[in-house]
Amino acid sequence: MSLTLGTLTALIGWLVIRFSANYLHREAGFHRFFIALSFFLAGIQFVLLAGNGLLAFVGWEMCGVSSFLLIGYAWHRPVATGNALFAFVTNRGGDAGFLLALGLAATWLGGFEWTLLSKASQISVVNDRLLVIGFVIAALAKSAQLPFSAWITKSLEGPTPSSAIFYGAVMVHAGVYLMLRLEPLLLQVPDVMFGLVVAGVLTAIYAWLCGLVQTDVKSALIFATLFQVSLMFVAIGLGWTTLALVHLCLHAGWRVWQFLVAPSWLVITRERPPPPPAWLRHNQLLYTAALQRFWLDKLADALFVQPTASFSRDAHAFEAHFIDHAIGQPGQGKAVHADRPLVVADGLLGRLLASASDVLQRIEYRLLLRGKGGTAEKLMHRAGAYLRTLENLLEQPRYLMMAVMATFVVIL
Amino acid sequence: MNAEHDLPIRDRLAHWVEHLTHVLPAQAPIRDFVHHNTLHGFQHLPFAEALSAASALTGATTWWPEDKFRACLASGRINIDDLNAALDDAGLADLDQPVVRVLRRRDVLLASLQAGNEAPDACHLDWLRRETALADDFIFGHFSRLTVAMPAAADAQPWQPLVQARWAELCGRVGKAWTWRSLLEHLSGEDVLERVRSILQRHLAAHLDLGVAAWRNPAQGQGFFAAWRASAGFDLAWEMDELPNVRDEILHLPDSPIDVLLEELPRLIADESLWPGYLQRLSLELPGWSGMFLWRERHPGRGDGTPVVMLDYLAVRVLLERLLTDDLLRRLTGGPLQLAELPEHYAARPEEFLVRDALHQAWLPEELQGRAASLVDQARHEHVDAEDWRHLAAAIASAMLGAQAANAAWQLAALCRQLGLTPADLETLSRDEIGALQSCAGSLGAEQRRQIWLLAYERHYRQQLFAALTANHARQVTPATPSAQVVMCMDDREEGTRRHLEEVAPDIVTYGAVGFFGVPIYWQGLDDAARTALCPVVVRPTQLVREQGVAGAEVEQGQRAARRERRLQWRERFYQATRRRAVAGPILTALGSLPALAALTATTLAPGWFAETARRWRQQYDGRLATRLVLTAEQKIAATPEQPQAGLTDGEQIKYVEDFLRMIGLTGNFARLVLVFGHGSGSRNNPHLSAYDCGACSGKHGGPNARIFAAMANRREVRAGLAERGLAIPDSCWFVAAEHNTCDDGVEWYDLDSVPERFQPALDTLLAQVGEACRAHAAERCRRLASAPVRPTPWKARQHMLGRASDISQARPELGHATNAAAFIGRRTMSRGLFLDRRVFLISYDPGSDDDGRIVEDILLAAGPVGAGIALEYYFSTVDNERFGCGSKITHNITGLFGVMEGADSDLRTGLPWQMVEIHEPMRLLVVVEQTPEVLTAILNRQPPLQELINNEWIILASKSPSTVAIQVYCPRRGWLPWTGSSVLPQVAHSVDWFAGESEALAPAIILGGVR
Amino acid sequence: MMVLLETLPNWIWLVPVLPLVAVVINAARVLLGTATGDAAEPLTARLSSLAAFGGLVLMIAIDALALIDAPPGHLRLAHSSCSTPCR
Repeated sequence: MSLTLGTLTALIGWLVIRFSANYLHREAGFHRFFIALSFFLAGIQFVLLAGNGLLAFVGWEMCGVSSFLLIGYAWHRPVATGNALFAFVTNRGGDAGFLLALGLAATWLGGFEWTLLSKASQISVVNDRLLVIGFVIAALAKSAQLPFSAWITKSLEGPTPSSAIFYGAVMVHAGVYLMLRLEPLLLQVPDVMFGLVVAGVLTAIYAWLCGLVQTDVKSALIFATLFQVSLMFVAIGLGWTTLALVHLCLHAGWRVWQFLVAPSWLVITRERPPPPPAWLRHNQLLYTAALQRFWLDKLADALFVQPTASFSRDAHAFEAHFIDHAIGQPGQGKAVHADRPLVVADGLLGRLLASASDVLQRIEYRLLLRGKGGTAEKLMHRAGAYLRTLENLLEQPRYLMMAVMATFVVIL
Repeated sequence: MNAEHDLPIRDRLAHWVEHLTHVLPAQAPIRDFVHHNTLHGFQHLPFAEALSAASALTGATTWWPEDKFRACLASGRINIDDLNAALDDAGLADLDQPVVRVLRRRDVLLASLQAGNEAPDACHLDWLRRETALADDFIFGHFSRLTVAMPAAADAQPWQPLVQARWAELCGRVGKAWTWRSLLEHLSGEDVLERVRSILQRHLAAHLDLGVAAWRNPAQGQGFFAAWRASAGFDLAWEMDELPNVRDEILHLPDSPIDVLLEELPRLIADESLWPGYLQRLSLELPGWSGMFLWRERHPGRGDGTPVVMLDYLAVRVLLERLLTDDLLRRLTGGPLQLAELPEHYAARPEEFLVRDALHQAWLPEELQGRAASLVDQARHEHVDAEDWRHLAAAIASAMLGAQAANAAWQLAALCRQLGLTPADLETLSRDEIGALQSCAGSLGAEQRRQIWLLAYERHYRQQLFAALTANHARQVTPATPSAQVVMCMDDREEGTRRHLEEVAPDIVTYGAVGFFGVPIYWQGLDDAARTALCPVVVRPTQLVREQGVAGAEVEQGQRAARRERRLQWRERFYQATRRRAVAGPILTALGSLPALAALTATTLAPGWFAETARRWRQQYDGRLATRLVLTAEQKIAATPEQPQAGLTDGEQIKYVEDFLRMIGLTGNFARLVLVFGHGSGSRNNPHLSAYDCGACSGKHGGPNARIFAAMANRREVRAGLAERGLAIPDSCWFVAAEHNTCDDGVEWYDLDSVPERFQPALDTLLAQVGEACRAHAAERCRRLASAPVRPTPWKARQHMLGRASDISQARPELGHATNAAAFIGRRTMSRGLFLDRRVFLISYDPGSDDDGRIVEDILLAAGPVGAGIALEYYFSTVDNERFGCGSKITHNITGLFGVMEGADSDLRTGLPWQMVEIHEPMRLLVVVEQTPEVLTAILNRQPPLQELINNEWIILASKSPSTVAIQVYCPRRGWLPWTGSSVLPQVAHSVDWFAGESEALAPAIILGGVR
Repeated sequence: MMVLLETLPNWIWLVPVLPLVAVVINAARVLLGTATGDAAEPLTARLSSLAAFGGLVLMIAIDALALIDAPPGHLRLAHSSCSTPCR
C-alpha cells in the first residue's frame, strides 16, 4: 500500500512541479513556491513511507506547514493570509488528536511502529478506542471531513497547481491513508468504524449539497473532491478497505488533471449541469444553507480561530507589559557604563546581558592566562556528560514525545 | 412616499444608473473579450484631465510611477532633450523666466523632475542617517538646519485647529470620493467592505451564473433583490456575526428595491444632491461585480433569462453599507451613534482622531507607529482613557512638524544637487531665494510631473519612428510585377510576419487592413452550435454565412455531427458528472483516472506532440469532411441582426469586394495569387483566450472572413460586376485564403482543392514562402520570451511555439499586443524595409486615389477606435494592474463562466492579466497618416468621434506627406508642428541580424533585404 | 548488479529526503541572494523537479523489484523508518 501510494504521489508531485515551472514563470514568489512544494513532497512521502507514527507525524506537520505557506502565497491579499491562518489553526485540532494517540501508544504499547500498533490486541478495548479516536480526529481534520470541512473550502487562494496537488489529489487523501494504515486497529472497535461511516455520510451530504450551488470552478471541484473522499471514509467504516484504496488512487489521478485544467472550463463545458430534483430545487432554506456552506466556516472561525487569536493577543499583551520590560527593546538602550558608550542596554535582560558579557570577558582572560587544566575544562567535561544523559533520555520515544508535545503546547 | 414623488425619483435613479455605465468597467463576459479603452466613460475629457478625474474617483494610479520613468532616463530610454521638449509640450508657462539668478524655470523643473519628489519616510531616513554618510552630507545638513529653523515659530502653535480642519476635509469627502466605509476604515483600520464582499459575492455569482452551478436560488426569477432577501431571511450568519437585529430589518423591508433605496439613502447621507455621487462611489468599491451586473442589465439578450436590474443590486449594497457601518460605528465609538453624528464626535476628540489618522502616514516614526497601532488596537477591545490619546497625540504632533521639515530638506537637497549648486553657492543663497526654488519645484503637481514624463517617454519613441520613416523615404520601390499580393490584418503582430515574408520573397507585396476584411457577417462553422458575429463590436451584421459539407456529402455530414456530438457529450459527462453526480461521479472518476494521468504525463513531457496526436485522433473519430460556404443569397430580404439573411446577394458581394480593394489601394496590377490572410490565436488552459484573437472580429478568429472574401472575389458574377465598376480582376488572378495562428505561427489554408490547376506552381511557391516567413517570425518572437530558446533556428523556434501553444502549463502562450505603440495608415512602401519590432499597426491606404480624403476618413473612423482601444487597454492595465488589470493569472479562478476571481473570494477581475502586459511600454497610440495636414484637418473638423479621440489627446496624430519627406505632428493646442531631426538609422541585411540575441525592445533599423 | 538491486529497497529513505535536499539548496540560494531574476528560475525548478523525479524512479524500481521477487517484506529503513508489506 505504501509503495503504490508513494509511487503515485511521486508521479503526481513530479508532474505538478513540471507544470509549475512554466506556470509560475517570473512570479515574485517563484522560489518560495518551489521550496514549499518540495517541502510538501518530502512531508507527504514521510507520511506514506514512514514505518512508525512519529515519523509520519513529522511528515504530517510538514504538510500542514507547506499548506499554510501556499494558501498564503499571495500574502499581500488579506483574504489569502486570513484563510491560510484559518486552515492552519483548524488543522492543529487534528494534530492534537494525532499527538494524543501517539502519546497513548507510547504509554500503553511502548512504541509507535505501525506493526506494533496493528498488534494492539494486548490492551483493553477502552484504551484501544481512545487510541483510535485520536488518529480518527487527525484523519478527519486532514481530509477535511465534518466537522473540520470548512478549512479546505477556504484554502483555494493559492496558485492553481498547489490547489491541485494539495486539495485535489494528494494531501486531502492523507487522512484516508492513515485510516487504511491502521485498519487492524480499527477493526477492533466497530463503534468507531460506525462513527467513521456517520462522519463520511454527513460530509457526503454536505459536500454534495454545497457542490450544487457553487459558481466558481475551483470551489465546485473542491466540494466534488470532498464528496468522494467522504465516500472513502464510508467504505473504510464499512470495512471495504480495498475498495477505499483503489478509489483513493483513481480519484487522485483524475482530480489532479481536473484541477490543472480548471482554467479551461470555458472551453471544456458547453451547458449548465442538470438541476437537482424538484423537491430540492425549490427549498429556499436548504439552498441558503448550501450557499452559506452550512455556516461551517463561521462556526469554525468562532470556535477555533477567534479563541486562538484572543489567546495570542493576551500573550502579546503579556509580552508587552512584562517581558519587554524584562528583556528590553533594541534601540532603546542607555549606556551602562559611562566610560564605554558602545555597550548600551535596556531592560532587565539587557542589563543582565551586559553584565554577562563582563563576566565572560573575565573568564576569557582567565582561560587564556591559565591554559590547560583550569576550572573551565572541568566544567566543560561535566556539561558534556549532562548533555549525553539528556540525549539518551531523548532517544527514548516517550521523552522525545513529551518534548514534541511541550513544543506544541507552547505553540498553541 | 406618495405617488407624486414616485415618478421623478424613479427617473432620477434610472438616470444615475445610466451614468454608472461611464465609470464602471464595461467588460463583457470573458468568452468575448474585446479590447476597449478602460476609461471609455472619461473619453469626453482631455487625456490628462480624464486621468486625474478617474484617479480621484476610483483611487487608481493612472500614470506610470515616476521612479520607472527615472529608470528609463538612466537607461537611455528617455533622454534629457525629450524631457526638455516635454516641458514645452505640456504647455507650461514662463519656462524661460529666471527664478534664482541665472537659473530659469525650465532648469529648476528639469532638475526637480530628475531629482524626484518622493522623500524617504521617517524610518528610511533614520536608517540612511545611521548607515550611510547622509549625516555628513553637507547639502542635506545645510537644508536640515534651515528647514528646522523655519517652522520653529509654528511649533508654538496649537495643532488642534490643523487637525480639525483635516477631519472636516475627510468628512467632506463622503459622498464624493469616499463612502462612510472608507472614512471608518481610515479611522478604525477595519474594512467593512471585506464583510460586504463575502456576504454579497456568493449571491451575486449565483445570480449572474451562466453555467457552473446546477442549483439556482428558487427565488431567482423575481430578480436579485427578491432572491437575496429570500435567502438572507434564512441566513444564520447574522447571528454569528453578532448582528441579530439584521434579520428583523430584512424581514420588514419594503418589497420594492426603489423604496429600500429611498429609505436607506437618507439614513446614510441627508443631502440629496450627494446621492448620485454616493451610489457611484459605492458601486466602484466592487468595480468588477458592479460592472458585470450593469453589463448584464444593459445586454439582457446575452444572459440566460435571469432578470438583472441594477437597482436591485444597489438597494442591497446600500442596505448592507448602512447595516455594517452602523455596526462598526457602534463598536468604534462604544455607543449608539448615527452616521450623521460622526463628524461632531471626532471634531470634539481631535486627539483621538490625530492618532488614528497618523497611523496612515508614512512620516510617522516607527516607535510612534507601534504605540499608535497598539492604542488603536486596544481601543477595539476596551475603553481607552482620553488621557492616553492626548499624551500620544502630543508626541505625534511634534513628530509631524519634524517630518515635514526633513521632507522639505530632503527635496531641496536633491534639487540643489541636481542643479549642480556647490556648497559655496548654497551659502550665498538667501532664504527668499530658497523659497523661490522650493515653490518653483513644487509648482508641478504629482500628476503633472508624471504627465511630463509620459510626454518625454512617448516623444523618444516618436523621434525614432520619424527618423526611420524619413530614412526610408528614399527607399520606396514597388516590385513591378509582384509574384503575389498578401492582405493581412492591421494587427501589430503581423508587422513581423509581413516583414519576414517580404524578406523571404522580395517580389511579394503585402497589405494591411482591419481584420474582418470589410465583410461584416454572422458566421456559423460546420461544428458551431450558434452563429457568431465576425466584425467590430460596434457593427451588428445582418447576413449569415454558414459552412457546410460539400454537396453530396449530407450523409457523411450527419454521421460526423452525430459522432462529434457523442464525443462531446462524453467529455461533458466526465467533467461535469465527476463533480456533480453522486453515483456516476465515482464511477466516471475511476474510468477517467488512468487516461487522465497518462494525458497529464504526455502533455507535460511533449505538449506539442500530444496535442497534435490528440487532434488527429479526434479528427479520425469524427471523420474528415471537405466543406463549402453557403455564400450566395438569391434575393435580398429585409434582414435584421436577429433574423439575418442567409448568405449575401451578388450586389452585396460586389460592393464588399470593391469597397475593400479600393480602401487598401489594390485596384490594378493584380498578381497571379492574392492571399487574404486572417488571424486568430490558439492556446490551452487560458481563460483570456479571446483577448489574443482578432480585435476587429469581436475577439474571434478572422479566418472565416478571409475565406469568404476570397470566395467572393473568385466568383465569376462578382468579377463581372467589379469590371463594370472599373475594377477589373483578370482571369490570371486567383484569391486564396488562410488563417495565421499568432500563437504557434502555423497557417491553416482554406479551399486549396478548388484552386485551378494553372495556379498550382505559383501556389506551391507561395505556400513554401509563407511557411518560411512564419518560422522566421517565430524565431523573432522567441527573443521576447524569457523561457524560449536563445538565438533559435527558425525550425527550432517554430517547434518551441508549437509546444508553447499546446502546453496547459503555459501562462504566456504568446504576448498578444504587448509593446504596441503606433499605427501607420498609408502605402506599405512608406514602411517596407524597416524593422519596427512588431509594434506598429500597419493599415494600407493609397493617398494617390483619395484626394478628398473620403477613404482615409473611413479608415480613421474604423481603425482609430480599435487601435486606441487596444493601446489604451494595455496602457491602463500596465500602469495599474491591480485596479485596471486583473493581476496575475496563476490564482485566477473561473467564475460563473463570465469572469475570473482571484482565489475563491474576491472582486471580479477585469482588464488584462499581468502576464500579458509585463513587457508593455505604456504609451498612447501614435497614428501616422500618409496624407497632407490640410486633408486631415478637414476630416477632423467634420468628424466628432475623431475630435474626441484626437483633440482630447487619447491618440496622437501625425501626417506624413505623400510626396515629400515632411512629417508634421498634430497638437490640439498649437496646431500642426513640423518635425525636424536626424534621420540616420543603423542598416542591417536581415531582421535576424538586428534582433539576434536581444531581448529588450529594439529601435527601428533599415532592413536592406526587405526591399529589392 | 544483483547485489545492488537487492539493496535498493534500503535506499527508500531517499524518496522523502531528496525533496528535502532540494528545499535546503533552494532555501540556501534564496537566503544567500543568488536566486533572483529570470536566470535563477530554471535551476530552482530543475532541482525540485529532479528531486521529485529521482523519488519517482526509485519508487518505480522498488515496485518493480517487489513485483518480480518476493515482496521485500518488512523493511527496516535506517533506524526509524520502515515499510510494511505492500499489497
